[in-house]
Amino acid sequence: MKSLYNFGFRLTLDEDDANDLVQDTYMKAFRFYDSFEQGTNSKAWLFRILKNSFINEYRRKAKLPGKVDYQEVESYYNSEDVDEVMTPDLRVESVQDMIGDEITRALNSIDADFRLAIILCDIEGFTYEEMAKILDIPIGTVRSRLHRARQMLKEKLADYAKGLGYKVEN
Amino acid sequence: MFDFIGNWFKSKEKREDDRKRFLEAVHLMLDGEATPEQKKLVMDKISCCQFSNSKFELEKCLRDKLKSLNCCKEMPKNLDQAILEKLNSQHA
Repeated sequence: MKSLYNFGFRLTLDEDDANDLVQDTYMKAFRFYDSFEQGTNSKAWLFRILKNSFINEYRRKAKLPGKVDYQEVESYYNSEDVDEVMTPDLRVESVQDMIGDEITRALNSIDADFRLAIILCDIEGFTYEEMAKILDIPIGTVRSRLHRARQMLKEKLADYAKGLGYKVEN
Repeated sequence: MFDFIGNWFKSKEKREDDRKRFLEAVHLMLDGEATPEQKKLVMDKISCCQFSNSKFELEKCLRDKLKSLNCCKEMPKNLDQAILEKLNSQHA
Protein backbone atom coordinates (compact mmCIF):
# COMPACT_ATOMS: atom_id res chain seq x y z
CA MET A 1 0.00 0.00 0.00
CA LYS A 2 2.91 2.30 0.73
CA SER A 3 4.26 1.84 -2.76
CA LEU A 4 0.81 2.50 -4.23
CA TYR A 5 0.50 5.65 -2.12
CA ASN A 6 3.92 6.85 -3.26
CA PHE A 7 2.95 6.17 -6.85
CA GLY A 8 -0.23 8.20 -6.38
CA PHE A 9 1.69 11.00 -4.73
CA ARG A 10 4.24 11.13 -7.54
CA LEU A 11 1.46 11.41 -10.07
CA THR A 12 -0.72 13.95 -8.31
CA LEU A 13 2.01 15.74 -6.32
CA ASP A 14 -0.58 16.22 -3.61
CA GLU A 15 -1.00 14.21 -0.39
CA ASP A 16 -4.79 14.45 -0.24
CA ASP A 17 -5.21 13.54 -3.89
CA ALA A 18 -2.85 10.60 -3.45
CA ASN A 19 -4.86 9.51 -0.42
CA ASP A 20 -8.11 9.70 -2.41
CA LEU A 21 -6.54 7.87 -5.33
CA VAL A 22 -5.39 4.96 -3.17
CA GLN A 23 -8.80 4.68 -1.50
CA ASP A 24 -10.47 4.79 -4.89
CA THR A 25 -8.08 2.16 -6.22
CA TYR A 26 -8.88 -0.29 -3.41
CA MET A 27 -12.60 0.30 -3.80
CA LYS A 28 -12.39 -0.43 -7.53
CA ALA A 29 -10.11 -3.43 -6.96
CA PHE A 30 -12.65 -4.85 -4.52
CA ARG A 31 -15.55 -4.15 -6.89
CA PHE A 32 -13.83 -5.60 -9.95
CA TYR A 33 -11.94 -8.39 -8.23
CA ASP A 34 -13.48 -10.89 -10.67
CA SER A 35 -11.55 -9.29 -13.52
CA PHE A 36 -8.22 -10.01 -11.82
CA GLU A 37 -6.49 -12.94 -13.49
CA GLN A 38 -5.24 -15.30 -10.80
CA GLY A 39 -1.52 -15.92 -10.98
CA THR A 40 -0.75 -12.54 -12.58
CA ASN A 41 0.99 -9.68 -10.84
CA SER A 42 -1.47 -8.15 -8.38
CA LYS A 43 0.78 -5.16 -7.76
CA ALA A 44 0.78 -4.33 -11.48
CA TRP A 45 -3.01 -4.74 -11.51
CA LEU A 46 -3.44 -2.26 -8.65
CA PHE A 47 -1.01 0.18 -10.28
CA ARG A 48 -3.01 -0.05 -13.49
CA ILE A 49 -6.25 0.75 -11.68
CA LEU A 50 -4.62 3.70 -9.95
CA LYS A 51 -3.12 4.98 -13.21
CA ASN A 52 -6.50 4.76 -14.96
CA SER A 53 -8.22 6.56 -12.08
CA PHE A 54 -5.61 9.28 -12.24
CA ILE A 55 -6.00 9.74 -15.96
CA ASN A 56 -9.79 9.53 -16.00
CA GLU A 57 -10.67 11.57 -12.99
CA TYR A 58 -7.88 13.66 -11.56
CA ARG A 59 -6.46 15.00 -14.77
CA ARG A 60 -9.91 15.89 -16.09
CA LYS A 61 -10.87 17.45 -12.77
CA ALA A 62 -7.72 19.52 -12.68
CA LYS A 63 -8.32 20.52 -16.30
CA LEU A 64 -4.68 20.13 -17.05
CA PRO A 65 -3.96 20.15 -20.75
CA GLY A 66 -1.26 17.50 -20.38
CA LYS A 67 -1.75 16.34 -23.95
CA VAL A 68 1.13 14.75 -25.70
CA ASP A 69 1.14 13.94 -29.36
CA TYR A 70 2.56 10.44 -29.09
CA GLN A 71 2.48 10.04 -32.84
CA GLU A 72 4.85 12.97 -33.06
CA VAL A 73 7.06 11.58 -30.32
CA GLU A 74 7.14 8.13 -31.92
CA SER A 75 7.96 9.45 -35.35
CA TYR A 76 10.61 11.73 -33.89
CA TYR A 77 12.15 8.86 -31.99
CA ASN A 78 12.13 6.63 -35.05
CA SER A 79 13.49 9.33 -37.33
CA GLU A 80 17.14 9.78 -38.19
CA ASP A 81 17.17 13.15 -36.47
CA VAL A 82 17.18 11.60 -33.05
CA ASP A 83 20.68 11.64 -31.75
CA GLU A 84 22.36 11.58 -28.39
CA VAL A 85 23.68 15.08 -29.18
CA MET A 86 20.18 16.28 -28.25
CA THR A 87 20.84 15.23 -24.68
CA PRO A 88 23.08 17.48 -22.67
CA ASP A 89 26.31 15.76 -21.83
CA LEU A 90 25.90 15.38 -18.11
CA ARG A 91 28.89 14.13 -16.19
CA VAL A 92 28.65 11.33 -13.67
CA GLU A 93 30.03 13.48 -10.86
CA SER A 94 27.40 16.17 -11.45
CA VAL A 95 24.62 13.61 -10.98
CA GLN A 96 26.37 12.01 -8.00
CA ASP A 97 26.45 15.36 -6.21
CA MET A 98 22.75 15.93 -6.70
CA ILE A 99 20.55 15.23 -3.75
CA GLY A 100 17.21 13.46 -3.90
CA ASP A 101 15.30 16.76 -3.82
CA GLU A 102 16.87 17.95 -7.04
CA ILE A 103 16.17 14.67 -8.81
CA THR A 104 12.60 14.69 -7.50
CA ARG A 105 12.08 18.28 -8.64
CA ALA A 106 13.41 17.46 -12.09
CA LEU A 107 11.22 14.37 -12.27
CA ASN A 108 8.13 16.25 -11.13
CA SER A 109 8.67 18.93 -13.74
CA ILE A 110 8.28 16.59 -16.69
CA ASP A 111 4.93 15.74 -18.23
CA ALA A 112 2.89 13.18 -16.26
CA ASP A 113 2.86 10.58 -19.05
CA PHE A 114 6.63 10.55 -19.24
CA ARG A 115 7.02 10.80 -15.46
CA LEU A 116 4.82 7.75 -15.20
CA ALA A 117 7.19 5.73 -17.39
CA ILE A 118 10.23 6.61 -15.25
CA ILE A 119 8.40 5.97 -11.99
CA LEU A 120 7.22 2.54 -13.10
CA CYS A 121 10.56 1.45 -14.52
CA ASP A 122 13.27 3.08 -12.45
CA ILE A 123 11.56 3.59 -9.11
CA GLU A 124 9.06 0.73 -8.92
CA GLY A 125 11.14 -1.72 -10.93
CA PHE A 126 8.42 -3.05 -13.22
CA THR A 127 9.48 -4.94 -16.33
CA TYR A 128 8.68 -3.58 -19.80
CA GLU A 129 5.99 -6.22 -20.14
CA GLU A 130 4.33 -5.22 -16.87
CA MET A 131 4.60 -1.56 -17.83
CA ALA A 132 2.93 -2.28 -21.16
CA LYS A 133 0.00 -3.82 -19.27
CA ILE A 134 -0.22 -1.01 -16.74
CA LEU A 135 -0.04 1.71 -19.39
CA ASP A 136 -2.08 -0.15 -22.03
CA ILE A 137 0.55 0.40 -24.70
CA PRO A 138 2.79 -1.94 -26.74
CA ILE A 139 6.27 -2.79 -25.44
CA GLY A 140 7.87 -0.82 -28.30
CA THR A 141 6.03 2.26 -27.14
CA VAL A 142 7.15 1.63 -23.56
CA ARG A 143 10.73 1.69 -24.78
CA SER A 144 10.36 4.84 -26.84
CA ARG A 145 8.46 6.62 -24.10
CA LEU A 146 11.13 5.70 -21.57
CA HIS A 147 13.83 6.92 -23.93
CA ARG A 148 12.09 10.27 -24.40
CA ALA A 149 11.34 10.55 -20.67
CA ARG A 150 14.97 10.00 -19.75
CA GLN A 151 16.07 12.58 -22.29
CA MET A 152 13.67 15.07 -20.74
CA LEU A 153 14.95 14.24 -17.26
CA LYS A 154 18.55 14.70 -18.34
CA GLU A 155 17.72 18.06 -19.87
CA LYS A 156 16.18 19.18 -16.57
CA LEU A 157 19.11 17.81 -14.58
CA ALA A 158 21.54 19.58 -16.87
CA ASP A 159 20.01 22.88 -15.74
CA TYR A 160 20.54 21.92 -12.10
CA ALA A 161 24.07 20.79 -12.86
CA LYS A 162 24.78 24.17 -14.45
CA GLY A 163 23.37 25.79 -11.33
CA LEU A 164 25.78 23.77 -9.23
CA GLY A 165 28.63 25.14 -11.29
CA TYR A 166 29.27 22.15 -13.50
CA LYS A 167 30.11 22.68 -17.12
CA VAL A 168 27.46 20.94 -19.18
CA GLU A 169 27.97 20.49 -22.89
CA ASN A 170 24.94 20.85 -25.13
CA MET B 1 37.98 11.33 -54.58
CA PHE B 2 34.28 10.41 -54.75
CA ASP B 3 35.10 6.98 -53.37
CA PHE B 4 36.89 8.61 -50.46
CA ILE B 5 33.93 10.89 -49.67
CA GLY B 6 31.47 8.01 -50.08
CA ASN B 7 33.50 5.81 -47.74
CA TRP B 8 33.78 8.60 -45.21
CA PHE B 9 29.99 9.00 -45.11
CA LYS B 10 29.52 5.24 -44.88
CA SER B 11 31.93 4.94 -41.97
CA LYS B 12 30.26 7.92 -40.24
CA GLU B 13 26.88 6.27 -40.64
CA LYS B 14 28.27 3.02 -39.28
CA ARG B 15 29.77 4.77 -36.26
CA GLU B 16 26.45 6.44 -35.54
CA ASP B 17 24.59 3.17 -35.92
CA ASP B 18 27.05 1.48 -33.56
CA ARG B 19 26.64 4.27 -31.04
CA LYS B 20 22.85 4.08 -31.21
CA ARG B 21 22.97 0.32 -30.82
CA PHE B 22 25.33 0.64 -27.85
CA LEU B 23 23.17 3.24 -26.07
CA GLU B 24 20.05 1.20 -26.66
CA ALA B 25 21.82 -1.87 -25.24
CA VAL B 26 22.92 0.16 -22.19
CA HIS B 27 19.32 1.18 -21.44
CA LEU B 28 18.09 -2.37 -21.90
CA MET B 29 20.88 -3.80 -19.77
CA LEU B 30 20.28 -1.39 -16.89
CA ASP B 31 16.55 -2.10 -17.12
CA GLY B 32 17.26 -5.84 -16.94
CA GLU B 33 15.83 -6.40 -20.42
CA ALA B 34 18.98 -6.97 -22.51
CA THR B 35 19.76 -10.15 -24.40
CA PRO B 36 23.12 -11.90 -23.72
CA GLU B 37 24.42 -10.44 -27.01
CA GLN B 38 23.46 -6.92 -25.96
CA LYS B 39 25.10 -7.43 -22.56
CA LYS B 40 28.27 -8.61 -24.27
CA LEU B 41 28.21 -5.61 -26.59
CA VAL B 42 28.02 -3.26 -23.61
CA MET B 43 30.70 -5.04 -21.60
CA ASP B 44 33.08 -5.20 -24.57
CA LYS B 45 32.56 -1.54 -25.38
CA ILE B 46 32.91 -0.14 -21.86
CA SER B 47 36.08 -2.12 -21.26
CA CYS B 48 37.90 -0.50 -24.18
CA CYS B 49 36.26 2.88 -24.81
CA GLN B 50 36.36 5.68 -22.27
CA PHE B 51 33.48 7.60 -23.89
CA SER B 52 31.25 4.51 -23.76
CA ASN B 53 32.34 3.79 -20.22
CA SER B 54 31.38 7.27 -19.02
CA LYS B 55 28.02 7.07 -20.83
CA PHE B 56 27.35 3.76 -19.08
CA GLU B 57 28.38 5.11 -15.68
CA LEU B 58 26.17 8.18 -16.12
CA GLU B 59 23.11 6.10 -16.98
CA LYS B 60 23.82 3.75 -14.08
CA CYS B 61 24.30 6.63 -11.66
CA LEU B 62 21.03 8.23 -12.77
CA ARG B 63 19.12 5.00 -12.21
CA ASP B 64 20.71 4.49 -8.78
CA LYS B 65 19.63 8.00 -7.81
CA LEU B 66 16.10 7.35 -9.04
CA LYS B 67 15.93 4.07 -7.13
CA SER B 68 16.95 5.88 -3.97
CA LEU B 69 13.76 7.97 -4.26
CA ASN B 70 11.69 4.86 -3.66
CA CYS B 71 10.82 5.20 0.00
CA CYS B 72 10.49 8.91 0.45
CA LYS B 73 6.84 9.54 1.28
CA GLU B 74 5.26 8.54 4.58
CA MET B 75 1.82 7.03 4.11
CA PRO B 76 -1.02 8.61 6.14
CA LYS B 77 -1.54 6.56 9.31
CA ASN B 78 -5.27 6.14 8.94
CA LEU B 79 -5.33 5.29 5.23
CA ASP B 80 -5.76 1.54 5.66
CA GLN B 81 -8.42 2.13 8.30
CA ALA B 82 -10.29 4.53 6.01
CA ILE B 83 -10.25 1.95 3.21
CA LEU B 84 -11.52 -0.78 5.54
CA GLU B 85 -14.34 1.46 6.76
CA LYS B 86 -15.34 2.33 3.20
CA LEU B 87 -15.32 -1.33 2.19
CA ASN B 88 -17.35 -2.33 5.24
CA SER B 89 -19.91 0.39 4.66
CA GLN B 90 -20.35 -0.73 1.05
CA HIS B 91 -20.63 -4.34 2.08
CA ALA B 92 -23.13 -3.71 4.84
